[in-house]
Formats: sequence, C-alpha cells, structure tokens
Amino acid sequence: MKISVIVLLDTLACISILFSISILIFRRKSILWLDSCFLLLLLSLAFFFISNQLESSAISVALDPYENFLLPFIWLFWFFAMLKKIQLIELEKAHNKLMISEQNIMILLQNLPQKISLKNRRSEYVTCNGHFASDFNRIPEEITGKTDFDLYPAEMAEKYRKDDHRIMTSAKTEETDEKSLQNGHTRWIHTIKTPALDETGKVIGILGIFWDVTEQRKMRENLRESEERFRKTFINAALGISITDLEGHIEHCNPAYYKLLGYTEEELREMTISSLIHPDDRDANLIMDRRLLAGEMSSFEIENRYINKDGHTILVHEYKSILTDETGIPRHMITLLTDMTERRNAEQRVKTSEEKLRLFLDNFSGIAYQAPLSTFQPTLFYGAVEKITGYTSDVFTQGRMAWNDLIHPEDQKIVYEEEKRLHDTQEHFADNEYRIVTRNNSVRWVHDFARNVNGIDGKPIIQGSIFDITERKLAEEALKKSEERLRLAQESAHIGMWEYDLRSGKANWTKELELIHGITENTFLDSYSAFRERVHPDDLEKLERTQNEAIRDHRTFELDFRIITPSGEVRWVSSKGAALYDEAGHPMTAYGVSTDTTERKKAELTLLDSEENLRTTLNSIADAVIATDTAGMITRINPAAERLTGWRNGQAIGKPLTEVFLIVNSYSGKTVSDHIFRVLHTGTISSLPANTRLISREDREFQIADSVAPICGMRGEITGVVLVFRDVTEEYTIREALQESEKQYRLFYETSPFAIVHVKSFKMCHPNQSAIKLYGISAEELTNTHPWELSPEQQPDGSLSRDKAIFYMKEALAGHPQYFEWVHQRRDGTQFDVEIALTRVYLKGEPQITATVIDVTDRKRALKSLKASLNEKEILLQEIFHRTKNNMMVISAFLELQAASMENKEVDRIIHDSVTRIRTMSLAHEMLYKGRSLSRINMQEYIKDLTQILATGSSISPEQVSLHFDIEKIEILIDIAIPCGLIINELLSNCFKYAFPDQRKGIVTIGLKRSGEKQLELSIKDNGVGLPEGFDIMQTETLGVQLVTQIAHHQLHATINVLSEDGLSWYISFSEDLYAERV
Amino acid sequence: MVETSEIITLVLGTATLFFLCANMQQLRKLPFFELIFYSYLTLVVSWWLTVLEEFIWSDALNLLEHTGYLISSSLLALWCYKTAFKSTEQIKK
Repeated sequence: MKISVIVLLDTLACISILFSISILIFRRKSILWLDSCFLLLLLSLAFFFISNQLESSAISVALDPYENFLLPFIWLFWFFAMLKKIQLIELEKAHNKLMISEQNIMILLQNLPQKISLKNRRSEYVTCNGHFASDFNRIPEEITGKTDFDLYPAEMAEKYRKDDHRIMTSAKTEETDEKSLQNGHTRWIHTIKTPALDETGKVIGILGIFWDVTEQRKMRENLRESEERFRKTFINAALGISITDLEGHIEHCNPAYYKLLGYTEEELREMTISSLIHPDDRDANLIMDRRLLAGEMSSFEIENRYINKDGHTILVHEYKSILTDETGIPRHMITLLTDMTERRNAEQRVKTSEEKLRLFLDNFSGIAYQAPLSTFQPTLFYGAVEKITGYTSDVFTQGRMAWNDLIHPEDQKIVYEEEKRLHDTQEHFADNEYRIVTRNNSVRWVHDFARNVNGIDGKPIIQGSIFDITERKLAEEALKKSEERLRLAQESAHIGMWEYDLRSGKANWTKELELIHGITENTFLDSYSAFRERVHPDDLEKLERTQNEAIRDHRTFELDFRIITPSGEVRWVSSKGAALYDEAGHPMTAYGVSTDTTERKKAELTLLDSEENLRTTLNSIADAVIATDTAGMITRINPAAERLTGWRNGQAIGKPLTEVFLIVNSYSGKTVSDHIFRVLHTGTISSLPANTRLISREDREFQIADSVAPICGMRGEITGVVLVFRDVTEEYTIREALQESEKQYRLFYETSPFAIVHVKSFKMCHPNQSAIKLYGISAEELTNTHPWELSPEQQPDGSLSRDKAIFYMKEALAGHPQYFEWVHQRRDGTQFDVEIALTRVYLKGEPQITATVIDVTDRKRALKSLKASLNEKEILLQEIFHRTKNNMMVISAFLELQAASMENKEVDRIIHDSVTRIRTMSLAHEMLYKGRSLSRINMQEYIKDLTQILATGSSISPEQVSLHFDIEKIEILIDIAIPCGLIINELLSNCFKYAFPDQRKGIVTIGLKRSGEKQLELSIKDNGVGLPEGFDIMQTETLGVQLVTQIAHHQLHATINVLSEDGLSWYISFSEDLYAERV
Repeated sequence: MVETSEIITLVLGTATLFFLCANMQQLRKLPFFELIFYSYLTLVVSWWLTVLEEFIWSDALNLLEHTGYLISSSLLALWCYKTAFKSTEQIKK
C-alpha cells in the first residue's frame, strides 16, 4: 500500500514534469531562462525515472553512483547561468543608459558656444567640441590624439604644456585671459582649465573651456582709457565741475568745485545745487533747470551768486547741461562753475580807482612851488601844502624846514639825481614821482613836475607843481594786482583774450589764446590775416559775417568755430567779442575772449550721434516701443507703437500710459495694465499675460505680446519703464485655428469606427478607442506590441505573419501605401479578419506609419454565404436549362416517332419542320447550361452548330453547297438568340429546299455583325437561283416566310431587306438591347 | 543504511541552497522567482528526509520525501506554465 502511494506520488511528479516539458516545447519563448529550464527539467525527469521508477533495472544500477549528484549540480548550474544572464542584462541596460547619457553630453558640448577640450595626462586631446576644432579648420575627430605642438606654434604649445603640467600637479582650476592663435590670427581668449578627476579623485587630464574675449577686452581697454581720460580731465579741470542727479543732488564734484565753495566733497554730496545758490537767484536758476529738463534747450549759461561755506557770496558763471543715458533719457546734470568774484572785484576796484582819480583830479589842489636852480629848495609854496604834507607852507617858506627833508630817504637819491640832471643839462622839464613823509609820519606819493624857467630877475629858477598821487599810486598797485589775478584766472580757465586794431589789422593775443591755437610766440604773426589763416575754411565765412554784422550793429557777438593748429589738428573755439568805436561811431578795435571747446563739442557730437542712432534704431525696429517715466507718463514712442496705438508721437508724449496703451484680456475684457506698474516697484522684467488685446485710439483691436522692463539709472534706481510689444493677431488667429483643427482631428481619431494605430519602429502606439475594442486589450498593453504578436503565426496564404508584416511596413515606410487583408489573433486565441491600410506619415520629422484596421469578419462571412448561395442557384438554373432541353428533345422524339407512323408526306414534312424548330430552341438551352453564362449565348458557336444540324437534316451534301460564315464573336441574350435561331432555321431550310435545284452547286453565307451602336445585322445569302421575276416574297403566305416576318417584327422589332441578285439575300437588322438581362 | 551518494547529494544540494540564498538579491529578478525558490527548497527538504528516514520513522519520512518531490515538481510545472503563458512584457517587468 505504502509503495503504491509512493509510486503514485512519483508518477504524479513525472506527469508534472511531462506537463512542464510539453509547455516548453509547444509554447516556447525565446527567453534564456526557459531554455535553461527545459534542460533542467529533462534532467530532473531523468533523475526521477532513474532513481524512483527504475530502481531494479540495469540502467538504475549503472547510474546509481551518479544519479543523486546530478540534480544539485544541474540546479547549481542553472542558478549560476541565470545569475550571469541577469548580470549581463543589467550590464547592458547600464551600458545603454551610459551611451544615451554620453550622447546627450556630447550634443550639449557640441552646441555650447564655448570651445571645450579634454586632454589626457600626456596632454593629448581626448575629445573636443566643434567650436574648438573649427579654429583649426578641422573636425573634432581630427583633433583627437593630437597635442598642442601639432596645433600651435612651438613657443605657445610649450607654454600650454607647462600650464597643463602645473594644473595637473596642483589639481587646482586656473582661469586667465591669454593670447591664442585662431585661424592664423592672434586673439585674446578667456581660459578656464580644470583638472579632470576620476571617481577616486585622481587627476586624469585637463578640461579646458575657452571663449574669445578679444572684443570685450578691446572694449574694456577703450572704456578704461576713456574713463581715465575723463576722470583726469574732471579732477584737474580749473573750472569747478559737478555732476548731479535730475533733482540737483550732487553726486560728484572736482577739487576746483569744492574748493571754490569751501566745502569738502563729502559735505557737498549731502547738498543740492539749489541750496548753494543765493536765495535771490534760485528761482531764475530753477526756471532754467526746468526748461533744460523739458528738452527746450541742450544747455544754458547763467551768472549766479553762490554762498560758500563761510557765508560769503561768490559770483560765478554757471554752464549747465544734461547727461543722458544710451536711450536718450536724461539721467544727470553737469554744472561748470567759473569764479567771477575776483574778476568782478578787480573790475570794481578799477572802477573805484578811476572814480577816485576822477574825484582827485576834480578836487585836486596841488602844491605850486618855486625854487632857485642852485639850491632846489622851494621858497614859495601854494596850494594844499598842509593837506598834503601836514605842515603849513610857512614852515618851508620861513626856512624852518626844507622840502627835501620831507622826501622819503629811499627816494632822496632819485630826486637828487633828477635835480642834478635838470641843473647840469639845463633841460626844461623834470618829472618825478617820489614819496614824502608827512607831518604825521605817513608816507605819501607825490608827483613833482618841475620846469626850468627864468625868473623875474632873469636867473633860472625852478617852478613846479607837486600833486599828491598817493591814491593813484595805490590804485595802480591794486590794478596791477588785479590784472595779474585776471591773467592767472584766464590761464587757469584756458580763456584767451584777443584784440584787433580794425584799422591796421594788428592783433594782440594773450598767451592762453596762442596755446589754444597751438602756436608759439615765434610763429604768431600778430595780424588778423594770420588769425584768418588759422580758421577752418568751412567756418571762415560764417565767422566774418557774424563778426561784421555785430560790429555794424554795435552789439556783441558770440560764435563757435573751428581752427586748424599748425600740427593739423582741428579744434573747436568758442569766441565772444565786441568792438570799440570812436566818437564818430567808427569801429576802432575789436576785442574779446576765446575758449577751447573741442572736448565739449566732441561730447556734444557724440551725444548727438548717440541720440540719432538711438532714435533711428527705435524708429526702424518692427517692434513697438513705449517708454515712460516713473509716474507712468509717456516719454518716448516709436512709429511702430504709433501705428498700433493710433497715437502720434506729439500727442502721446506726456500722456498717461493707461490712456494711450489700453490693453484688455481677450476673454474677460478686463484691463490688464497692473503688471506694467508693478515693474516700477519690483524692478524685474515682466511679460504680458497671454491673450492680451490692445485697443487703439481708433478702436481697432490687436492681439499683442509684450515685455515690460524697468529703466534703471546709472546708480540702479528705476527711472521709468519701457514696453516692447508687437502685433501677434495673425499668429493668435492661426494658433486658435490650429487648436480647433487639432480638436476636430482628435475627435475624429477617438470616435472613428475604424481602428487606428500608429506604428513606430514596427511597434504599435497611440491606439484609438476602436483599436482597443478591436484587439480586446488595454492601450498600455497594445503600446509597444509588434503587430505580429497579435496575429497567428501564419497568415492564410501560409506566409509567416512576422515576415509579411515587416514587408508591408517597410513598403509603407518607403512611401508606398499598402492595402491588404490580414488575420489578427486576440490574446484569448480568437482570430478575426481585417483589412488594413498603411500610410506613411511624418511626425516630428520621423517617418511613422498610420494603420487603419477595418474588421471585415462579418463581411467575409456574408460574402462566403452569398457565394455559396449563388453557386447553388447557378447549379439549379443549369439544371432547369438541362431539363428544358431534355424535355424539348423528348417532345421532338415523340413527334418524329409519330411522323414515322404517318404516311402523309405533308404531315411528315410539317412534323419534321416542327422538330427542327424545337431542336433549334433546345440547342439554345443546351448552350446555356454548357456555357459560362446562364443568360447569354455565343452566337458564333450557336449558329455553326445550328447550321450543322440543318445541313445534316437536309438533302444537300457539303460538296453541293458549301457553307460560309461571317460571324463576329458576339454573345447575346437568350431572348434574342432563340428568335435569331428560328429565323436562321426557316431561311436556311428554304434555301436548302429551293435555291439549288437539280444538284446545282452553290455557296451559302451566314453572317452576324455589328452594324452600329447596339445594332446587329443578321444576313443569309446564297448564290442560288434566286426569286422568279416579279415574285414578291414578302407577300407569300408560306409558313416559313410568315414565321420569319412575324418573329422578326414582333420579337426582334427588326427591319427586313431582301435582295434577289445573283441568288437571294436576307438582311435583318435589330437592336441587341431589346431585353434586360435576367441572370 | 545511509547511502554515500545521498549524503553527497544532501551536501551539494544544501551548498546550492546557500548559493541561492547568497545571490537572492539578483535572482529575485527572475519571473515568479518564489515558485522556483520554494520548488528547490522543497527538493532540498526531501533530500534531508531521505537521509533522516534511515534513522527514524522510515516509512513516514519516505512518504514525506516523495510528497516533497511531487510538490517540488508541481511548483516547477506551475512556474513553467506561468512564464510561458504570460506576456513578454509581464515577464520583463
């Protein structure tokens, strides 16, 4: 019992194994572990059979030592093989991922604008991108394996080699600008060299990233030089220069500026220009500032009073202009101050001095004296002696004091020498100035004018007059100092003075003016004509005209013109001048000042160019641009923006942005301007929301796309916003239409009754609902499935589904649409017939196949059923024809039998004729069931067979009458064929009976041909005896002719022509469309 | 009496089981690995029972041994069936 249970268990185990083997044999899949399993199970089976079932057999005994070892070994082997396979698959997957990653990195590297290379430790290029290789007119593959010595000059390559060695040794990244050779040109490149490390951190090479910075470097250098030049000019300028913001806050000022005002630079930075100006002058200055900011003028000059730190008022000449940024927006104001205080003071002092002198002269009361020539001691004094000397004149006249005692010790020698000269040379005049010490010990200057005259007594005496010139002397001293200061001021301000004698043409120039003109004292010709030669030819006419008009009109003139220095340099000079006139009003002298304004002019021209370029650019670009200030007021609008908004430039400037730029959401109709003003607060670039519509001034609407960016000043402060937008109405319309179209196509795709799938790389994807329903699996399962995996192994024609499917798909991918029938198989094994149309489509530039699958299972089934039904009916019809023919033959046989018993020849003939007619009809039915068609008869065969039957049944031998046929290959309906056959039967029977009497030989021709469209002509001609003279065959009453005419007229609707020339000819014409086809 | 071959089979089978456990992490990626694992485990248990039956409860353990063979072969057959009739995609998963 126990043994039998064990045997049962083992038997069941064997069955399980056999079941496994059968699965593997009949349902194998090309998976390695199943193959291996197959081997394992076979061996396991061997084990079971050998060890358990055949224990007593010779095989078991023979294998006994090995049987039990085998199975663990097989399992071990199989586990080991599986392990290796899994590792291999994972390795392959990892390798594929790595390859994809590497490809992506290579694409990234190739498309980077920088030049990138990787060298190994031997400084050989391992790889590089296209930009790097293109510098050497090579492709990256050609660079690989090369060193710098193959690509660069030896000196440069050696340097690179040393750099590489240093970086690899230090393992530190180096970044530098250096010269490099590109396409034979030396360029500056920015280089980042990084040690390439492996996963252990070991340096395995160098990664180099380079990009050309030649242009940036040049620009930077130019910028630095320019900045240095301007900075030095700014710092060293003799004029006080300050740069302020638009509200007058001082941002920068040069030493001359803050020294002039007595503040430190730091203190001034906390102040505004306005606070420095004298309160009485502030309003005038403010008005000018506003006009300047409004763009009414590019600059202005004004004389202001400033208050310095000490509280003193300083008179300055102020020149102010606007500094704009690249877009032409005013950013700063620049102020140039020239201290006019000293000059004004000097002028004032000169004036005061002159007034004093005048007063002195008006009220002068000098001293008149007389002295003997021998002693020069005045004995007579008149005038304001006391006033001048503090002594009364008596003191001198009474001899208590000599005049010479009053003379300043330092001047006594001069006075003495002058007296001696007058005495010795006997000259008439002596004019001397010297100092005297007055009674109160003050020193006064006197002017002593002495005249040598003869006295009353004839002796020479000295008469003179002494004037107190102390004040004048002081004034002269002050004037001299003032002039000296003026000269220094001119020198420091680079202001040159000039004077021309309009009569003689002589010119006087100050040294500063000579420097401005670039000439030295030696080269200056001190004439107006020499100056004229220095003036630029283009400006000379304007200069002289302005000058002459001003002199003529007695007014000052001011002019900017160019001069050419001896070195050829062209400079701009600003000159102001006026003329002096004589009493008659004729000009005598022209005088004035000139300043070198070359730098200012250049700056102005640069500014103008910049502004012009900006304006041209803005006017030329297709995008619309609107700029506003911080208050949202429009400051600039270009023509494109004018067109879209409908506002002209002049109308829009100064208007609120929301009035000119009215934008709404296309769907909600709400205004969406908020984000523009948000930019003013956030300072970040923003874009319009999608579906934004601009409503123009004329109520036209545009779909627009735009961006809003803040306008930032030099210090980064936001000074407004700039809007850049464009008309995207057309794009918007197209996009809307596209979306609608896409929706329609998607709807069609999803609701199509036909199954539609895409095939990519021979795998199905994107199935529609009908496809999912047809194949009976989910879209996920269907996706990435090969078409042949849903097909039986073979198609009905015996070809393998896989090969056939691949063939069709390749043909379709080659651009040949494929239409074919196919058998698919669902997962549950049910098969169904489909018709498939494959067409090639391009999606994202990649060829794919669109497969339209139509389930034709029902149609096929119906067609099959229909065919079977038709076959059945054809057989039935043939059977009917056959039976009809047989019945006719039976009838004719009965008639012949009956005729044989008749002795009456006429009756026999009549029966014979009837039999012939029946055979004629039965022949037609016979041909129908034997022929291909069940409704049409081949007339060629029919007439020949019928003729043969008639000829055989008659007494005419073939030698006597030969039959000729002229019959086209025509198939006609049985409804026409039988009447035709009866007509032929009657006419041929008559022909055989009557046309060839007395063994006359002849020919009978039977014809049937087309005589027109759908028209047939039957002809029967013989060359027999023909009709007797005057015999009208149509009037005869014989049965045969009557049958012919009756059949022809009533059944065929035919026309009959009979000709009796060289025999008898019948022509019967009829239409072949008399009856409709029934089968 | 215990056969030498049975002892050797037991040793080899157990060693293979250790090998299997040591590489479980990798071999788990086989489809329906649990069936394979329990099939083999049952086989090894049967080999143990083959040796034990020589010492105690020979009849009962012999019956258990052969029952183990049946379970092992059935699990193997089930594994074959499942791997053969499941789609390739499921197996790959």
